Amino acid sequence: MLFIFALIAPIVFTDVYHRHLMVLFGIFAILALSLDVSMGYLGELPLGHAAFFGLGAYASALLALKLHLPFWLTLPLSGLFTGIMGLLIGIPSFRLKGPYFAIVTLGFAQIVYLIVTNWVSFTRGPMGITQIPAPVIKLPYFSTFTFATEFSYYYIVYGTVLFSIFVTEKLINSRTGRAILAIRENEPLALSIGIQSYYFKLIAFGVGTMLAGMGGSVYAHYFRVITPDLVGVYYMVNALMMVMVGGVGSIGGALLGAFIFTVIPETLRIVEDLRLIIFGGILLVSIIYLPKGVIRGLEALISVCLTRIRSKN
Amino acid sequence: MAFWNILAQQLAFGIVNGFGYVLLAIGLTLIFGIMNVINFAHGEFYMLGAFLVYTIITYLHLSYIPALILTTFVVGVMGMICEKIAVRPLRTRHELSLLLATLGLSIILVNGAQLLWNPRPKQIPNQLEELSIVFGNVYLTYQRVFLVILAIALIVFLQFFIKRTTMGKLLRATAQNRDGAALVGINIDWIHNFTFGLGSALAGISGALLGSTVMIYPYIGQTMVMKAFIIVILAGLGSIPGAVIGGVALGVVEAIAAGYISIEYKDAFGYAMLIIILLIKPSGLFSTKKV
Repeated sequence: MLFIFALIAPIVFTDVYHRHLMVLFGIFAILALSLDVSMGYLGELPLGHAAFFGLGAYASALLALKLHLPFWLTLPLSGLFTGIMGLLIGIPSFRLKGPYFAIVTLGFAQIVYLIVTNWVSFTRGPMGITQIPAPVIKLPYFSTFTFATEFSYYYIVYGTVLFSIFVTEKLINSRTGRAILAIRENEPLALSIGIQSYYFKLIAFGVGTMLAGMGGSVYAHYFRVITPDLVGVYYMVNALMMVMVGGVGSIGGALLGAFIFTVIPETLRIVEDLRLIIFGGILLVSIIYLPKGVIRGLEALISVCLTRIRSKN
Repeated sequence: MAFWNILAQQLAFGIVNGFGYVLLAIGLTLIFGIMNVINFAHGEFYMLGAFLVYTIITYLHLSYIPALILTTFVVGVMGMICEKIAVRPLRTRHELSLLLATLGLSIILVNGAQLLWNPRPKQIPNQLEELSIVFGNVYLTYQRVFLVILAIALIVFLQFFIKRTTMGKLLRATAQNRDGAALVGINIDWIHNFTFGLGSALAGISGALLGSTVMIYPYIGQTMVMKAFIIVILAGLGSIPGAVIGGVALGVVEAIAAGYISIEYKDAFGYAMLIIILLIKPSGLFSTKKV
């Protein structure tokens, strides 16, 4: 039902602003889902996750501008690129547990940020990349169709979100997924029954970073302008909060988190300077008081209501 | 001859910065060793140290050394308050929740500082920075020499404090076995509070000392916390002698890299070093013996 609602949503809400928010929500949903693969299912904390999102955006933009590849190629290629980068970073860092992993991925994010900012001849440094082309379909015998409006772009984002949900769902409900969950719950036990935890961790991380890169690509071709900020702290914190506040380890949680953090920053526009402070506060409060996320709270609330209604009948 | 002069000067700068990093890293490693908390807000206390010294000198017109002492105490107390708000409620939770909580704390502190002091880079007014001493062909400002002397004194004092005093014994007992320590009547809440305060105060001193040699802005803490992580991972988390060697080594590597390879990518060499070390020897180069 939600899928259908999401499908017709841009037809119901006709003004540009709401459509823009819906596109934004979709992009954040991809980011949150991809982070949740590592955070929720793997039980690791990749602090460099936004770097993969940013890398995807840069890869996609540069492929489109320097090699003139169409969006339909740059999207999977940037996913492939960040997935491979994820594997390369995962190989050394998964030898380590918990906090070490978090620190190494953060170090990686810092290196990416330094390169993106300082390699001016290639990435244009702090000026960012502009004039990234919008996706185009060239139909034979018809005119070409450009996805330049919020309305048409929404369906590209929608498709990518569906793809991300599908991949996450497939990953978790497969043999691999069960092995990954077993590792999260009890790694020594998983190892003892012959699960090669190292490889499964790499697979999950690779999938997560690939999705993040695709999210970045979708971002780049929507906004058509990207700056090194994409790799920086703001997006990392944003993604972490979506997953933490929404609910770790659940697709619904990641989507809800993405929704909350699309709406909240918009309402906080009046207090621009305080925005990140409030974000930090929300993060802190939600870790202390809502460790399982809003989605679990909602689920509990709904089940309580249902049992009340049933008992009354 | 010029080659050796430049090399000596770079090495001297590297060692001075390295001693600043050591203080920061010891703070981080104490907090980890005793409380088992990976403190992502550690760099923010460094930043606060630098900005408080700046504020005290500019607005209260104190000279540098009294300002330094005052700053150290204020940052220590702020650390204790932060521990009470953000760390204590999560003590029994998973270490990653704690890590995220300190990240939240860090975001609040950075952006709070940006609001309070605005993002423009500042210079700490400091007379010690205006005069230099010449050793052969190496020029160092008084501030840098003072930094090294104070850092060495503090390291020696900390070693003595942890190994020889009753408080040090309590800290070590808590580090070894938290429940056991609680069982024999050690007030764990107080020990953790004290440790976080001490660690933060060390970061604050480091910020007040190193901050005087460079321009300061609210985001300095975020690169500094990474440096501290690089050092403690290099050294093995929880080891003070390791942190000393690791800190000086990082300072020297950065100085050499900045002098001979590329100044923009100076920080990247540290991160690269981190990843390489984790590849070769994940437990750190030195003993992982706790505090």
